[in-house]
Amino acid sequence: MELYKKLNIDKKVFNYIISKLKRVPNDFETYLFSAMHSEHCGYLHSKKYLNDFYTENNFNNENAGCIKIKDYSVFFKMESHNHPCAIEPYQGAMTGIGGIIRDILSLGANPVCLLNSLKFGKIKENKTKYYLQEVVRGISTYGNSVGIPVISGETIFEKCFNNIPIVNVLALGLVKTNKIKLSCAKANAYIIILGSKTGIDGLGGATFASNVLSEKSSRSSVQIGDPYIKKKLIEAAIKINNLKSVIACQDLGASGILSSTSEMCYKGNCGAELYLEKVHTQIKTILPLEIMLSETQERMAFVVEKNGIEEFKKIANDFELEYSIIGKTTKENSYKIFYKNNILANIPLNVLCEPYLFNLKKGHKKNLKKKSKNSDLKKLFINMINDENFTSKKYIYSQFDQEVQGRTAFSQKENSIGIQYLKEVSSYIAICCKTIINQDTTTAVKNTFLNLYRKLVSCGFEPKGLTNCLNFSNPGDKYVQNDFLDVIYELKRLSFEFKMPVVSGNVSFYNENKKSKIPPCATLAMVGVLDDEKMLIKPNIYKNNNIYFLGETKNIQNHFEYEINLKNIIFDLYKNKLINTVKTIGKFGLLTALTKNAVFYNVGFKINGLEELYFKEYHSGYLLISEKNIDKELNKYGVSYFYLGKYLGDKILFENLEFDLNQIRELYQNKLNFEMEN
Amino acid sequence: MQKIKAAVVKFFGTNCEKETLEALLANGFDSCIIGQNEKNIDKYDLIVLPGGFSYGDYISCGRIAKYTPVIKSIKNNIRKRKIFILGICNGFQILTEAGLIPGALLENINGKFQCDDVKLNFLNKKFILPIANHQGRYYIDDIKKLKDCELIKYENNPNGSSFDIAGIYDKKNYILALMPHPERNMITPFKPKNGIIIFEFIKNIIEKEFYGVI
Repeated sequence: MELYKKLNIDKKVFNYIISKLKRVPNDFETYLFSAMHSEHCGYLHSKKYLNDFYTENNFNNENAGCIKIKDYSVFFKMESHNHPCAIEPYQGAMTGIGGIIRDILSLGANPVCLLNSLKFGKIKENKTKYYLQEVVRGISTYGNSVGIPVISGETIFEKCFNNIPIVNVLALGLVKTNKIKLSCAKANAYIIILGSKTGIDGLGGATFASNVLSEKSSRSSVQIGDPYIKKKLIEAAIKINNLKSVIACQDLGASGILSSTSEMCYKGNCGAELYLEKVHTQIKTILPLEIMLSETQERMAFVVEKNGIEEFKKIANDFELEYSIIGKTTKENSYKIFYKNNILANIPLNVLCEPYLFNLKKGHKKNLKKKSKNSDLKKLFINMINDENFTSKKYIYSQFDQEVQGRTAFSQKENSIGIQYLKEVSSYIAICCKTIINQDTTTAVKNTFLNLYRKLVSCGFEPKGLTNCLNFSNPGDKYVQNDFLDVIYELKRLSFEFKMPVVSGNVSFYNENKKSKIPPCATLAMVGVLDDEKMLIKPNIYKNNNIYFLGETKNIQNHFEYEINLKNIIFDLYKNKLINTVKTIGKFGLLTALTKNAVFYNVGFKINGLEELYFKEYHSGYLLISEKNIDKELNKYGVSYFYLGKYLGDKILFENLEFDLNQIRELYQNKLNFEMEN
Repeated sequence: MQKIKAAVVKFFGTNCEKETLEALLANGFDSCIIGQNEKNIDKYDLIVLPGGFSYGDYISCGRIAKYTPVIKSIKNNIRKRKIFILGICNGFQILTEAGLIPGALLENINGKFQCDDVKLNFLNKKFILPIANHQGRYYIDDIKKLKDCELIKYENNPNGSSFDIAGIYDKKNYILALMPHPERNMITPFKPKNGIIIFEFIKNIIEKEFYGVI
C-alpha cells in the first residue's frame, strides 16, 4: 500500500499536494502532509465557510480573537478535546485545558478564567460515570494547579452522547492592546522552543482526531499534561512576550513543532530552517519524524531576534525551564528540515500550509420527526425534577477552584453565569456558554444565541462578543454537511444582525464510533461587559417577590430591535429600582427555571397562567422579580407582559398541582452525588 | 505608627500570591512578594506562605518547598526573634511539612478537590470563608499537642479533619496556619470581607506583642 493511503490522506488531497509541489513528496514529507492536511490542523471541510462572520476587524489567522475594553484586549476561545477524552478522559481533559490556555497565552494575554461545556450519556448508561468523574478530575487537577478559576459552564446528559463524551473548554485572557503578540514571524531571526522536553507522547494526535473513533484508536495518541511546568511556562511566556525582540509566539498543540513553526513563517511570508538534533528531547533515540510530530505538552515556540537571545535565556533560567534554539527564519518561502547534516524535507510553505479544501453541499435535510406531546402536567413535572439535567451540578463545580486570582464576583456557586472584575480596566465581564440540541439546527443555533444574549442582559451586561465550538460527526455525510452549513449561515446572519463579532471558533468533526454518532452540536459562548457596578443585577430572590414575564411567549421575527428594546426596558427598570433581579428561562421551559430558583433561594412559588411556557423550549422573554407591583410601569413601555404570581411559602403551586419544595430540594441537591457514589 | 512590614513568599507553583498581596495592602500592611530563594528576611515582621501548588505538589503537598532557602531563614528567625508566620492553604501544608505546626494534612475524605464556603468559629466569632483544596483534612493523633494553640474550627466539618480543625494559631511561636482563604474574601467583589477578622487579629498581635503598643 502506498504511504499516503496508509496515513489516511484522501486521494484528492494527495493529488492536490503533488500538483502544487510539482513532484511526489518523499516519505518524510508525506508524514508532514498527513498531519498538516488533516481535518484537525487543516480544517479541510470547514475552512471555506468560516471567514464570513461579522468579526469587527478581528485577527483572522490567530489562535484566538478579542473584544476591546479601553486600552486592553480580552481574548477568548473555545476548543474541543473530544477524541482524547473518549480514550483517556483524565489526560484528555487535562491537556484540553492546557491547550486552550496556550492559545490565549501565545497572544501575550494573561489567562484569567476558564469555562467548560461537557456532554455525556445518560447517567445510568454504561460508561457515563467513568467519563464524568475522570473529565472533571482532569479539569480540576489542571485548572486548579495553574491557578485559573473555572467560573461557569454547562453539563448535559443525553443518550446521544453515550460513549462519545463531548468536552469543550474555553479560556479567556487579558492583555494591553499595544502588547499583543501575533504569530507572524520575520526573516533572519531565531526559532526557540521553550518548555518540556520533546517526547513520543501524543504522536499523531492530529490525525487521530481527524478520524472516527474505533478500538484501534490508540492511547499513545493522547498527550500527557503537567500543570506545574505549565504554571512556570505561563509566567515565563508573559515575561518573554513583553520583550521587544520577541517577534512572534505560537503554542505547540496539534502537530507540535511542525505546525507551530510552519504557520508562524507562513503568516510572516518568510521561510524556516530547522535542525532537529538541536531540540531538547526526552530520549536520545527519538526519530526526527517523532520530533516533528510529537504533541508533548507544555511547550511553546518563539521567534526571537538575535539581540533578544540573552534576555530570553535569562527568563528561561529564572523559571528553571529548558529551551533550545532549533533553527532560524529565512527570506525564502521554503520550509527546510535538517537532521545531522541531512536534508529531510524542503517544501514551499504555501504548499504545506494551504491544503485542499472541500466544498460542502447544501440541500440534504433530514425529515424532522415529530415529538409526541405529553399533556399530563403532573407527569411532565415529575419527569423533569427526576431528570439528571435538572439536578444541581455541585458535584462538578465544587471540584473547580472558582475564586483563585481574586477576580471572581459570581461563579457557579451562586449564579448561572460567571462574572469577574477586571481591575486593569475597572470593568466587569460576564461569560456563559450553552448548547441546544435539536433536529432543527437553524432554530437550535438561533435560540442558543438568544438564550446567551438574554442571560448576559439579565445580569446587567452589554453582550459584546461570541465564540463557538462546533461538534459534528463525519463531514463526508451529506446530512452532516447540510447541518453544518445551516449552523454557519445562521451564526453568520445573527452575528451581522446583532453586530456581534465572532472572535474565534473551533470545529470538531468525526465525533462518532461504530455504533452511533452525535447530533449536530453547536456550543456557543458569549461575553458581556459592564462598567457601572451599580448596574450589576445581583441574582437574589426573596419571599413575597412578584414574578412577571416580560416579552412574547412565541419566537418573534425581528429579533434585533425586539431584543434591544427588552434590554433597554430591563436596564431602565433596574436603574429605577423597580425590580430586584431578572431571570431567564432556559431550554427546559418556565417551570424548570422557577423551580431551580425556588430551590436555590429556598422559597416556594405560586403561579397562574402561561401554561404554554411551562415546558416550552423557545420563547422571547425574561422573568422579572420585584418586591413591588410594577404593572403600571410595565404598561408604559408598550411591550406585552404577564403577571405570573409570587415566590412564597414552601410549596410549588401551579394549575391546582402542589409539590413540596423540601422534597424537590433533596432531589435537586443530592441526585448527582448519589448517582456518582453508587 | 509605622505600617507592619510583610512579605508574601512565591514558590514555583504558588498561585495565590497576587491576591494575598492585595489583601495585605488593603489591610494596611506594607507588603511585597519575595521568592523561594530569599535568604534575608530580617526586615519583615510578617511572612505569609500563600495558597497554590508549590512544586506541583510533587511527592506530597509542601514536601519540596520545605527545603527552600526561605523556609530555612524562617526557621532561623523564629529561633532568634519575634516574627509572625501566616500559612494559608498550601502555606499550612508547608508549615506542617516543615515541622513548624504539628499534625499533617491528608487528602479530603471524599478524595476530591473541594471549593466551597465554610462556616468557621474562631475566638467566639462565627464567620464564613472559602476553602479550595484537595489535601485539606487536618490530622493529629493527640489534641494535647495543640495545648498552646487557639483553634479555628469548622461548624460543619467538610473533609474529615480531626477535631473539626480548620486552622491553628500557635501562641508561643506566633504561627497561624489555616486551610480557608481569608485573602479571597477581602478582594473578591460582592463577597463579605470576613478575611478582615484574620488580618486584624494578626495586626493586633504584632502591634501589642512585638511593638508593645497598648
